[in-house]
Amino acid sequence: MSRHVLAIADLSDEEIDSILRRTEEMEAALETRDAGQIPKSAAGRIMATLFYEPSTRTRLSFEAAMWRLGGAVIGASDMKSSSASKGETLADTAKVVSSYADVLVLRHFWDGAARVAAEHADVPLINAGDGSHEHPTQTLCDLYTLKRAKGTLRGITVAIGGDLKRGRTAHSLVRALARFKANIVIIPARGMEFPDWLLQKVAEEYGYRPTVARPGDLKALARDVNALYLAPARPHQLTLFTDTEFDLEERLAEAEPITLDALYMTRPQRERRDDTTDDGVEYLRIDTDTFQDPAMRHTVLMHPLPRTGEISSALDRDPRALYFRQAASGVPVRMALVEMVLAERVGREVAVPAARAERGAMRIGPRCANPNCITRREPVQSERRFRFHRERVGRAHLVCLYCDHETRIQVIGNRKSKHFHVYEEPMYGYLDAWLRDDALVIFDTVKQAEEAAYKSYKLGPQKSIMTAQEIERAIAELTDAILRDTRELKDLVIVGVRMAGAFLAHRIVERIHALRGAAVDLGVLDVQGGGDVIPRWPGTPATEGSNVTIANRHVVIVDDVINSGWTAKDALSCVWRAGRPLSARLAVLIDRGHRQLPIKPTYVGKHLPTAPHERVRVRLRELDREHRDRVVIYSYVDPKAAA
Amino acid sequence: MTDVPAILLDGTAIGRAVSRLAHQILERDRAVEQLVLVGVRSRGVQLAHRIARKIEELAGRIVPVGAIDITPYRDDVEEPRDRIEGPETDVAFSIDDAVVVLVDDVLSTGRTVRVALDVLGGLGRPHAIQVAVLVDRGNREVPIRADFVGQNVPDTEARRVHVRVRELDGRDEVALV
Repeated sequence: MSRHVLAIADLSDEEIDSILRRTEEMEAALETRDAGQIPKSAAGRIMATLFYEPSTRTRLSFEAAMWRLGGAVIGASDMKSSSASKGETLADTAKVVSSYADVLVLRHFWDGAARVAAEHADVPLINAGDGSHEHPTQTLCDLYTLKRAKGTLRGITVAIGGDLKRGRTAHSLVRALARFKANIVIIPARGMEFPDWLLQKVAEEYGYRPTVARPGDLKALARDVNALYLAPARPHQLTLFTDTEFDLEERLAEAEPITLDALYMTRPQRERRDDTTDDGVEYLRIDTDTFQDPAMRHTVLMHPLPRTGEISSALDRDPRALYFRQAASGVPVRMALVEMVLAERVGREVAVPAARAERGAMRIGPRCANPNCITRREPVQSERRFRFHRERVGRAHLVCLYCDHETRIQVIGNRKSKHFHVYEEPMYGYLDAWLRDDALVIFDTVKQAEEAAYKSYKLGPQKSIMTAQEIERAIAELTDAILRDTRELKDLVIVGVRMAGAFLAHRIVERIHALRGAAVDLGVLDVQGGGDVIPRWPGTPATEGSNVTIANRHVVIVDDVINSGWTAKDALSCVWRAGRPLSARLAVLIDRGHRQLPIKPTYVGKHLPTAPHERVRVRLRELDREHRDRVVIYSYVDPKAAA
Repeated sequence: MTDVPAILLDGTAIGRAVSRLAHQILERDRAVEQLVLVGVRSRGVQLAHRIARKIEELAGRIVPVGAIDITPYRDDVEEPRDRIEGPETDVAFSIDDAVVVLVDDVLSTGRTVRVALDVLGGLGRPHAIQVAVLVDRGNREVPIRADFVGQNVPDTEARRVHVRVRELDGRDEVALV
């Protein structure tokens, strides 16, 4: 078993203290400029660096650290030139490369990527930043710099400003500071606040909520405020205000003036927003004026770099500006960390939840709500993808084990009875009981539950509403309508939504072949799977590769039933991820109405208005035990009535 | 075919259309407590604010208004990526379980609304999303429909609809140009 460092939480307090102490020793050894003074604790070992995103400081400092420790480095700085460009999954890359090296260092643009790679690597993996999620080694540099400047972390006050929504360095830092009992003031640019999942995690883990300020508060501080006041509501719960506020006297009664020990600035994460402007966003910018205020006398200024105008270069010579020292600490910090993970003994408990028997992990999980989560981009083999977070009895949601985002519970199933029910708060007791019984399964949609062969809890009587002949006739009419609207069959690609939609799409393509003698491309779309490609129908001669081409073609998405429209919306998103089509049309066998989204199918086999508690199930011969086509309708029965 | 702009809606007609949209929204979404409006930048935001004011007049309830910018996600670039939020997105309230009415000035191909659905999906899980537009031109390339339409202007000629709003353009006007 390997020891991975995927998040700052993977390191205990003692381990962090030990790494910081060892960093000091490494730094002292490096300062002697005598190679003989530097421990060669990685002699004969190899580090592989996998960087899917541009990086200067992080990659070079990891590589320098490994060389300094007497080891060697292999890797690709641009993974676009690697097998990833041929469609190799991150999981496979991690598995293969871990057979070449003793330690992996990964940077990736998807949240949770580090955990997926660690699950497949046979050697320790260090997260060098995954999407907007975590960047634990940068946090170690930050903690080391802070501790050296202030002598301690406990009780110091740190303001963190800038793009806190997507800044992974800030995400890791706030958790570490909360853990070491520092006071945190957050100064986000408007619209760039810390995500809820992070604040909830900090509250859950440390019973702590950071104080929120606005960029203007700090500007006021620089202009005409003599002190910044923090009023503890209870230990570790602070309220920030400045003496520009008019109810000051009242509030001063309980407050004590403080000065900021550190101001930690971050840059706007443009690469995570596909954006090139910050027009209209009030972004905190630090210049010599800000730092002239007496209240900032002892405030050190930090930044993970690169900076993009948040800190004036006029401050570079100010002894309080520590950002270059922060960057320089990258090598000794990473030397200490690499030494630690390489020294870990085989058999130690792994830090990857997927490898732990974690109560509340599920065998079949829904899809993470975070569109940038790796689990939406690559098939994840682990059965455990979520943990439960209980706010209180009756309220529970899921937290993704990979990216920490929250996902609402939609449909719960019982693995033993193979029944499901739409989740509502009053059903919490069932959820809890089934979880304790190791029988809980959670689905995103009723359709997903049905396709996993689960039945509605105590199914009501079923009534047939479409015969095999009616279904065939509807498919023929859908096909004819698609052909009427299609000029060139070579520009057409038909994409079926798994499962029943894919078989309907297959029948449409076969009918087109029978009518026109032409083969039309057929893809199978899994809205639960994610990924940026749409695979071809299995068994199709793959003359143009294993995936259908979407770009510059007319796409027809085929599904069996449309109701709320969420599945169709997800299918459209998947199509656009795979390329830019000339157009997209939607063909459904049955339209139930009850739309929650502004989706209108282009072709409908049958309009069938139904009540919300009713379910319509398309049973096709390819998927049916009795090998016959039919459409049935039935009603839900509350599981309480089934007891 | 003429080069002279034809005024389809003047200020008064736009005012009437906004009022009609507000009435239609209230008729459909009686539980105003759950209702939020999100405008698509730029002119959709101005229209959303006007609809919100009208709803406040009619129902006596303040409806939250947010803004999303889908410019970075326009699919006329290669390799589109499904990112979550735009830089100018400003939705300072939770949309979980809300009925979100997405407001835009013109609906044509439906590509903008499709992207907006993804952006909203990144902000939370609303109960429902509906679309309100001042002008619907038809001409869909994506299976998107409008729930509330101020004026249908079929795309029968190769002239573009240009919406001007006084907050940004100095006057209210919908013209064929």
